[in-house]
Amino acid sequence: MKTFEYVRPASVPDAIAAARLPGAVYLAAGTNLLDLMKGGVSRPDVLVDVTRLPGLDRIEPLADGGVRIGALVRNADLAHDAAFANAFPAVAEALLSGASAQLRNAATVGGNLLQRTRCAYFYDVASACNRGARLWLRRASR
Amino acid sequence: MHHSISLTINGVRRDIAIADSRVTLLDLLREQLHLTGTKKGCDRGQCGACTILVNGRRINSCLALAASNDGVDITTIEGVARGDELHPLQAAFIAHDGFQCGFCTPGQIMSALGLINEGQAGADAERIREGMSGNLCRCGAYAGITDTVLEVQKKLTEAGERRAA
Repeated sequence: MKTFEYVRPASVPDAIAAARLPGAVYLAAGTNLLDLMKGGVSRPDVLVDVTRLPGLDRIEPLADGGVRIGALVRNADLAHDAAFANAFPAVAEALLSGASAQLRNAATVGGNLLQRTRCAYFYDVASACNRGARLWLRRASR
Repeated sequence: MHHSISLTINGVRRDIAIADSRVTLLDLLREQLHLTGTKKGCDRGQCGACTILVNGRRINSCLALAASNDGVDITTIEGVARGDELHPLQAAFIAHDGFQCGFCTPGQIMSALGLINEGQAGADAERIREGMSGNLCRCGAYAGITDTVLEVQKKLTEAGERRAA
């Protein structure tokens, strides 16, 4: 793994400023990023650790029936949140179908969405999977 | 760049200097603190040999940067027994032949501890197998491992019910 500078800003504005440094990327749990860095796929110069930023680990029900999920909520915590699992059982089940318990305990929802996906099928629009399936259906209906 | 962090490891608070930002909790435990019970298998979060508890939750220590984990409470396999008295999980691993070569065993035991803490598996063997699926065993001792976790979970649940009664 290439060397990097590690910084841990105390506030969201400081973190955004730090992320503008050349070669900077955000670090949450690191379950995806560290793996990519060990393989030399990702080679950041600065890691901006956002794990201690306040207020980003909340699961808030909204008046319209939706839910606001903080970027630092752990996958396991979201899946096991009783109100969330009751309102969105398919999402909770999908979360528990991903990775392992160790990874789900560490991985954050924000990091999950920002993963650099390397699965070939994910990028293949002809493959009946993920967004590829939707594209295929759209083409088929023309 | 040097970082200074403090960790509570198996109940003992330690102030630790980290010479290199790249150091993971796994390498810190093994290379710097000489707690070699935690094993390095794949080093990529896939095999579970490096499983430890951080603030009571099981994680892969190979994918956790030490600098980012300043202030956490860690339990490793070295902190599981009480002196010469084995933890019930350790004794049950022996009784059920839950290993052959033993390389994955510290990770299996820490993962089982985490699973029992999480309270999600119940007395269902299939759910225990799923809950332990982040720990690979090349010797294929899975049947013994599942029996071990089933038995210990049952014992601890019964003990809890006796205390509550």
